[in-house]
Amino acid sequence: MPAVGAGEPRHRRRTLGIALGMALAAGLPLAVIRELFVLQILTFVFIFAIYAQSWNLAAQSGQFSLGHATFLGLGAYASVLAVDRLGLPPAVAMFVGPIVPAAAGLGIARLCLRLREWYFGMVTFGFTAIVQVLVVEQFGWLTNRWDGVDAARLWPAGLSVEHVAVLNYLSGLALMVGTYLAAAAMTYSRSGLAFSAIHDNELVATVSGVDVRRHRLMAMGLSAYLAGLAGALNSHTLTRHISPGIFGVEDSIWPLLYTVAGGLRTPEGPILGTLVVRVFWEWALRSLGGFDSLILIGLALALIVTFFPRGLYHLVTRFAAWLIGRATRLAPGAR
Amino acid sequence: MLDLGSLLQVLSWGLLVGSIYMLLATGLTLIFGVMKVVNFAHGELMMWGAFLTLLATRLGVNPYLGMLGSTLLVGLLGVAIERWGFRPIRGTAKINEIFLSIALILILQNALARVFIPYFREYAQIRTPYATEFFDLGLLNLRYDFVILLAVAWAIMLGLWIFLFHTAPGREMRGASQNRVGSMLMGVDVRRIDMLSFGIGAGLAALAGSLYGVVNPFSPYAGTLPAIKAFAVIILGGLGSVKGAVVGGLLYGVVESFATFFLGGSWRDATAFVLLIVVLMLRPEGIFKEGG
Repeated sequence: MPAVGAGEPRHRRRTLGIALGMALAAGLPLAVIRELFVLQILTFVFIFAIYAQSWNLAAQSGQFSLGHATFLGLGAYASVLAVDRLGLPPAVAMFVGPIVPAAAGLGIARLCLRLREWYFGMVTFGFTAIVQVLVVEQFGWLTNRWDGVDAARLWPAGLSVEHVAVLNYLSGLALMVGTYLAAAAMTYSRSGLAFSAIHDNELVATVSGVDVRRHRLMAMGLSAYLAGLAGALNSHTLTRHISPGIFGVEDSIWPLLYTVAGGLRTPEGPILGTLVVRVFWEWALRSLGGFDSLILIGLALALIVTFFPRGLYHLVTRFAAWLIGRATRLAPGAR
Repeated sequence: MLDLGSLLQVLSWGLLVGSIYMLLATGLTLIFGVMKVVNFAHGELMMWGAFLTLLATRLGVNPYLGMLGSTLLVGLLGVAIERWGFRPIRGTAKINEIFLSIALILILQNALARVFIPYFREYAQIRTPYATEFFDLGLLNLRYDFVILLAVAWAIMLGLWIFLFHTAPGREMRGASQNRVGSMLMGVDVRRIDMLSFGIGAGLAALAGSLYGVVNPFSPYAGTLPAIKAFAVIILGGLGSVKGAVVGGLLYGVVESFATFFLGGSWRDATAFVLLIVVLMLRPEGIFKEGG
């Protein structure tokens, strides 16, 4: 749960500390890692942590989306097409393109203002199916229908494969840390408190003077922008191609899976969840392969939710609190 | 091409698919009514039902007899899933239930694929002894199987109605659905009702899957989309409402069927969601409100 106390210096220090720690922990191994696929998996983790973070932002205001792939996909398409048709450089298009999903997010949030919980989830899911058909049929002349479009590389031509992999890794890391800082600032701000209030009880929030409509729109708009950014980054670095398959069920499920495993409604949860689940997933696929690995992953996820229903990050904070408690008790002259 | 005959054909196809949606959605809505849980792994239970029926036919059992067995087995599996899966996380965040059902999808789907793929490759269909027989109704040709399928689906719905409205456990189930705490205070063991409703829901999914397998070739992955649509159906009809599941299921089947006919295949799935969104804009809690 996001702790109360908007903009307290304590939170600011902790958030900055964690951000620095993440940057260091992820930056240092670059000196030793030589396997390209390890870099690629971690880049994937960073990008999908941004995506999970964006989902979490909407979830904080009680808007549990089951169709975030809409925004992931629209961001990717908008950015790739902005490079292709308007001639923008990928590094610029990546940030301009997500305005399209942000607008879609605002529109969907506006339509869904009266909907809650399952009803909201199902409508967001439905929009993914609808957007997919629109992209394939109505905008087929632009999107090359089911075949999709090749995405321009984020980096100039002529760089070696290793350099590109490292640059992808660093840009993913930088954007993930940036998103984390933004999400933390949001969570601990007055708007974050409003999100929480809406999540817990919309009626009480309204009565207490929270502008529910504005905050729900704000959360979805921001969330959709960040999801679009993740999609754009993904297509310009890792997949290098975008096709309507992105508007599938799976891509809407990932952020939910990562965020809940890590810790819902905390800025750290989505990152920890993406890292743990994704790395375990890759390990299982490589060591067991095929169906057995997926059965094992399913079992592991079921165990996580049964034993740590508040997510893995909650476990970390509890462990840290226990360590600090122990240290203060053992310190000489503590009493 | 717009003659009465083809329209009737499209309509009958819609009612057929709609009846399968109806069974799936009724199972989901029974579970939701009592437990307030949406089981996304419903489609995987459905495919296990289809698979077990398929196995029975390969052993020489009549498919419509085999369905009974697979319904029963998957129903027991449902009871186990409730007892050791959903019960322990009751009372934690709502989203955890979605999370658990996604984990169940991974487990059930891949466990099925593991035994299915080596023997049946990608797709298999349940063969019935009446596959080539038709009723010729002049404008309309109806396969024997389609008629049997409709009869089975509606007989089960009638049985369920009798169970819900004319037996003691059925009454307890409706009571728990309307007011859980109230039922507990009346001395009803709601945890037993949870297991019962999950078991019946899973059984209905298995039956829907078996019927699906008679009409369409299926794979271990074929259940996901119908289950999501069944979820959309119960949202459309109103969560927890059996009446809503029946009306919504048939409506969905017919609308989809007509959309495929008039707009083309790629609009089939999207049209159903357009319908859902339009209905929810007008009635944010579905056609029939909860508990009907």
